[in-house]
Amino acid sequence: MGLIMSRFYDKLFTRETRVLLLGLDGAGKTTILYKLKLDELVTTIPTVGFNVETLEYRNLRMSVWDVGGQDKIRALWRHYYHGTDALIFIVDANDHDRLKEARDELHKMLADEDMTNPVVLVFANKMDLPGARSASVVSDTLALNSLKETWYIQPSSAARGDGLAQGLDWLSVQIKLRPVKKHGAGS
Amino acid sequence: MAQLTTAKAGADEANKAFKRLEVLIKRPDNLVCADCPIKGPRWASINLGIFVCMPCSGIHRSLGVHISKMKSVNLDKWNIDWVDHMEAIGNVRANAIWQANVPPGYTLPTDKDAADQTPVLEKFIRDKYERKLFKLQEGQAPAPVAPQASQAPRMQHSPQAHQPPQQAYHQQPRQVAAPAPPQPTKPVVDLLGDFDAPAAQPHAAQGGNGMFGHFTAPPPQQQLQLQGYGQQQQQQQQQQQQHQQFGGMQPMQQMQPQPSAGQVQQEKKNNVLAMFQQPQQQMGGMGMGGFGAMGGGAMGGGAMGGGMGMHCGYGAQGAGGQMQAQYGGMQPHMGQQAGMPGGMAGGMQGGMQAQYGGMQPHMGGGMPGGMMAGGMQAQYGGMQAQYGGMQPHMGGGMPGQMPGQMPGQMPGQMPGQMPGQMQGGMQGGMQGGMQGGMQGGMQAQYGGMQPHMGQQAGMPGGMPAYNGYGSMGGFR
Repeated sequence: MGLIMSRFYDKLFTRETRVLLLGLDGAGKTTILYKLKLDELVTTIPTVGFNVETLEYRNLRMSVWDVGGQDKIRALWRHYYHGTDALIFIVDANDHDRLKEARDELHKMLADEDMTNPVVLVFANKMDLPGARSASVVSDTLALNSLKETWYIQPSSAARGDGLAQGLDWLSVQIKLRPVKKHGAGS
Repeated sequence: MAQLTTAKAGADEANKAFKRLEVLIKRPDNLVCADCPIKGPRWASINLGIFVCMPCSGIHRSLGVHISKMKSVNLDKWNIDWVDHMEAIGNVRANAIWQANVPPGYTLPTDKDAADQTPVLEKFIRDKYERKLFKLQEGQAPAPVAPQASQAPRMQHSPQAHQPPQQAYHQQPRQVAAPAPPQPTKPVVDLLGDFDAPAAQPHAAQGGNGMFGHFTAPPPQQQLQLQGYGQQQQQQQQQQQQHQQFGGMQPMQQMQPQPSAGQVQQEKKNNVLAMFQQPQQQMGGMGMGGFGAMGGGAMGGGAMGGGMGMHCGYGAQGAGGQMQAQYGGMQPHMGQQAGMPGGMAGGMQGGMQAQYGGMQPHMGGGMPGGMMAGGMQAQYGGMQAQYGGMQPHMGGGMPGQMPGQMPGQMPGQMPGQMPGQMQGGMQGGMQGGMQGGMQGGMQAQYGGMQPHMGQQAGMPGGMPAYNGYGSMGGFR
C-alpha cells in the first residue's frame, strides 16, 4: 500500500523540470546528455547549436538543453537561462588550463538576472583520464564555495558511465524540495 | 618549452588571429583534413598543429586535451600564438611525423567513414595520436608513404605519382642522417609530438638539423596530396612561402621531382582539376563573406513563424560574422509557450548559395513554432553547396507546432519531415529542430533535388538521421 501510494504520489507530483547543461566546449555535455538518455556512449561532433532531450528520472521529467560551448557561441547561452530550474555545469577535470575559464563562465552565468536561483550540479567529468584533477581541486578552482546557489559537485566519467546517476539523484532530491517555479505557460 | 597561452584573447588579438587563420586554411597543405579525405577543414588541434574536419574533431575531442586541443576556426577566439603554431606545422608537416609509418594494408578512413564517424575513423585517429603507431621514429627519415597508406584522394593517382617522394627522399638523405647536435636528447619527433612551443622557432631550423630540418624534405605526402588536388602551382608558391618562413631552410623547390612523362600527364590533369578547385578556394575565402544578406534571409524565415518575440541576433551583429554564418544569421529567442528558447539556425547556405545563384530553394531560417533546434553544421553544407547546382536546403529548424506553415513554405522539402519532428507527448514543447542541412548539398550533387534532411535534433522516434552532421546528430 505504501508503495502504491508513493508511486501514485510520484506520478501526481512528477515535476516538469527545465535543466540546462552547460560548460566549456569539449567538456562532455553532449556525451553526458546521450549517456543519460540512451545509456550509450555516443560519438559526438562539436555541438554548434544545441540538443534537447526529455529525460525521466525518478520524479523528474526533465527537458535537458545542451548548448554548444565554443567560445563565440557562449554568448547564446543567456537565451536559455530563463526558467531554468537546474544548471548542470560540466567541467573537463583533465583540462587544467581551462578550469579558470570554466570558473569565469559559471560565475558569469549565475550572475545573469534571467538565471533565477537554479540548483547547481557540477560534474567534474573525464575522471577516467589520467591527468584529471580531483573533485575538490575542481571545486576550489571553480570557487563553488562562493556561490549563493545550492550546489553539489560530482566526479564523473561519461565514458564509463560513472557518477552520472549519483549526480541526478542529488538533483532530483533538490528539485523535490523546492517550490514549483512559475515560468512560462508551458511547464 | 613554451606553452601555448591559455589566457583568452582580447577582441583585437582574436580578429587578427582570425584573419591569419583564414589565410592559413587556404594554404594547399591545409585544404584537406589531416585525418581523412574531407576537404575544407574548419577545426584545428592547436597543440598538434593540424586542421581537421568536424567529424574528425569530434574524435579528437574524445582523446582528451592532453592529446589534442580542439578549437574551431570560426567559433573560438584564437590567440596569436596558436596561429603561429598552426602556421609552423600544418597538415602536411604534421602527417610527415604522425603518419610516417602506416603499415601497408592498414585501412585508412574514407570520407564516408569520416562523415559517419565509423569505427574505422576512430581507430585510425587513436592509432595515430594516442597509440602513436605510425609516428616517425627518432632518426628516421620522413619516409615515402606507400600507396595503400595514402589517403583516398591520393590513391587515385597512378603509380608515377608516387615517384616524386622517392626522389625527394634520396635527395635529402643527409638531413635525416645528421642528428641535431644541440638537441641530442630530444627526439625530433617529440618536438612536434608534445608540441607546446608556440611558433616555428626559426633558429632551430637555421642549421638545417633543427626541428624543422627534417621538414626541409617535403614529406612525400605533400607531393601527393598537393598534386591530388591540382594545386601544383600553388604548391610552389607555398613552398616559397615556407621557405621564407623558416629562414634558413633548404629551398623546398629542390625537392620538386623532375617531371616524368607520367607526371606531365598528371599535371595536365591537375590543371583541369585546378579549375574545379577554384570555387572551393573562393569559398574558403568568402567563408563568411556574404552573411549579412543571409542573416536577413534567415530572419525573414524566422519571422514567418510569426508572432513570437525573437531576439534576433546575428544578422545584425557585426563582429560575429563567422558565427553568424554558422548560425544562420539569427537566433530567435522565443519565449512563448513553454518558455523554451528556440534557437535556430539557418544554414550558412543562404549566403553561399546566393552567390552562386540559383535554383536552390532555400530556407535559411528556422521557423519558430515551439522551439526548434537549429541547424548547425551548416559549415559542411557550405562546402558542399558549391558543387551542387540545385540543392534543396533546409537550414533551419522546423516547428513542431505549426504544421500548417510548412507546406506553403517549403514545397518539396518537407514531406516526411514533419512527422518525425513532432515530438509526441510533449506539450508545448520542445521539438527538435532539424538540422540545417548539409547533406542536402551533397546529395544534390548526384541526384538533383532530393529533399534531404540534415539531421534532426531532439526527436524521439524521429527519423533516421541521414548522415548529416547534426547536432543531435552529434552521435550515431
